[in-house]
Amino acid sequence: MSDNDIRGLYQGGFHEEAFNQIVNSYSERLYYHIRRFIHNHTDADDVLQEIFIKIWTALPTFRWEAQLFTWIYRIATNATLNYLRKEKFKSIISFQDFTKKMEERIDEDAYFNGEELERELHKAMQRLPEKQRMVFALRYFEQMKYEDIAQITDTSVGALKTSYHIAYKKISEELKQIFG
Amino acid sequence: MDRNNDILSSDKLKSFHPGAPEGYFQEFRSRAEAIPHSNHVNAGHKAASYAAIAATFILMVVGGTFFLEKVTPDEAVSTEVLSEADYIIYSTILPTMNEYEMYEQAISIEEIDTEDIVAYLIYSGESIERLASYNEQ
Repeated sequence: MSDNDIRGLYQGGFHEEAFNQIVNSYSERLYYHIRRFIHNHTDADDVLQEIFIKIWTALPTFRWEAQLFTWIYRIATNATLNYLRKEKFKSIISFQDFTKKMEERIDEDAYFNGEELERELHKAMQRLPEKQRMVFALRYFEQMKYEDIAQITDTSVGALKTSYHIAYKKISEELKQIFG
Repeated sequence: MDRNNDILSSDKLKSFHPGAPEGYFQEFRSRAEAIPHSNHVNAGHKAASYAAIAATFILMVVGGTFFLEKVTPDEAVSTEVLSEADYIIYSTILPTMNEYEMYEQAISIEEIDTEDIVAYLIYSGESIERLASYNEQ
């Protein structure tokens, strides 16, 4: 079901049906999106549930002239960044290196079904600054337009292009060093 | 960017995503579809918790005020009445003259005579000749 159909349902008073359609259309995409940052199925599941609770709670305040999918991704991105901040704080108070901890998670992830290249790509992403990583993931994996990413991350298109270019170059060089 | 030498240009890599347990999305959807129902209950719970916080605050204010009233001695809040002994102590500390009396006293000091001058000159180390000349005067 398209976002326009969901809008029609919601504005027709079928709030729960509209929400269920959002769950059907977005749960899988959002799970993969947040999983690239969280690297752990159980935590990703918790964050995903939290995202849908936020969507349901904030749905009455959503202005339907805006794009539904950028709004949903914005909620998901904020929830993910909040989760990462909490995890970072936990690492700091337990004197752990956060980046190393997340890289270990990638290695220990039981559901990581990729090969060595995919694993190293995710590790290289992990070494990027938080926002740069988010921009890279949204553009590279989700193939989003810069204009949409700008709405999600509250950043100008110009800054996003630069950020993505830098991230791409960094990761590309790291992978080239490993795989030749 | 050189596409031929660019590992990231691989479509396989672009479409990669980490896996999930089998049947997870089906299970998640049914769980998420229950959110609107559980959220109604949560709204009630939220209102109840706000009411509980407000009640606790009011209880603390009322209880605190009552406690302070009980604990604070009455004398501390009432106007203090000075005893006779207090008056005696205060009278030694406070000046008994008003400003006019103090001025009168200051200007009524006796005029300086020759003896005072001689005493001053001795004290200040003046010569005997000068002292003699003063005596002659």
